[in-house]
Amino acid sequence: MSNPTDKDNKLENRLRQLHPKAMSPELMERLSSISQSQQPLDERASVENRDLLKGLRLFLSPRKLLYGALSVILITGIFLIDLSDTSTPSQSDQAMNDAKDNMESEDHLTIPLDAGHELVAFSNPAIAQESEITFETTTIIPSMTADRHPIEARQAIVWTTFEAHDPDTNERVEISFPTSQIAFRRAPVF
Amino acid sequence: MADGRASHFDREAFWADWIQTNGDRLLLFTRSQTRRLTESEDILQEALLRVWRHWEKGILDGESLLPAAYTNIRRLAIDNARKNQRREKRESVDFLGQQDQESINSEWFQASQDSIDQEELHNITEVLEQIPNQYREVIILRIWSDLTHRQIADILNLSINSVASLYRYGLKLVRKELEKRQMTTR
Repeated sequence: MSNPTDKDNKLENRLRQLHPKAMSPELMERLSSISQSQQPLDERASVENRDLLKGLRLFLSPRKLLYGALSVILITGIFLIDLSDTSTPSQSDQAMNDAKDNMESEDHLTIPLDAGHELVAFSNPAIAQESEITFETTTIIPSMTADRHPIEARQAIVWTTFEAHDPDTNERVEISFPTSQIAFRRAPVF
Repeated sequence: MADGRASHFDREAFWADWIQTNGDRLLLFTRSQTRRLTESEDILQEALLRVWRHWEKGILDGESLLPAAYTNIRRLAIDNARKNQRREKRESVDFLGQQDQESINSEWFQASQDSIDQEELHNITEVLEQIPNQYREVIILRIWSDLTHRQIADILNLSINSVASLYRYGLKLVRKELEKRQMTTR
């Protein structure tokens, strides 16, 4: 019966008879190529790809996904708010809504404006009477946007005045519309 | 022996020869530290890249390459283990379970004699995996890297007496575990 120390020595000898499993030829090649260039590109790329996958797994964690989703919603919201600000001035939003009631009228007038906008004014007998201009033959050139133009009050209706050019008489005239009848919209691109 | 003043060609030849001689034992040590073959290969490559850079700059000489490689492997393996633990917490993934499954399926050794069969190889691998890392790394460095107690003490930042104790206690632990397995198979 051998004592524990003898057993340990036997085990040690036994273990020394084992050899570490040989590494694969691919790994051997990778490790040897470290000396050929300090950063062997192909081999480093394979490791970096694995790192990328690890990174993607990290990115796909529930918390990161939540943060990502919130970021996308926030950025989209800011973008949409910004877009709506540039496409339709805030004052004209109300005017557009009010003017929708008059959309039945076919003979509405489109006026080109700067900054890629159009002024849409809807003719109705009341406006025609006030402006004394036949809409079908008049090109109206606004000198400034409606919300910056002096607004005068007539009979409790807010009116907006535009400078206009009448091609029939070749004269500059002023026409006024109830502000509620005016709307701006982004000019169509042809 | 190549040193910092050797030509690049000589360095390449020396490096290839050095990898040929020490690659398998370095991989064994890395596998014992990480337990996943794919991670082991990445860590080993990163560790050797660092060693190469230091050697090229003249910080290391040919004699100190092997201890430096073990030290770097150990540091990188610790970093990797921490990373895995954080990931496990974050994603609630049974990552250790996957590791165990993978490590069981891959042996660490090959026998140099026919007297050792596959079952014994398998048992030794499993027992070495199961014992605490402090014993495991001393045994692996002593037996399969042929390092002295002093060299192991430098790598592990321990006293020589501690290394000697860990080695003896570790061997005893391995022997007892193997005996238990033999008793259960009889």
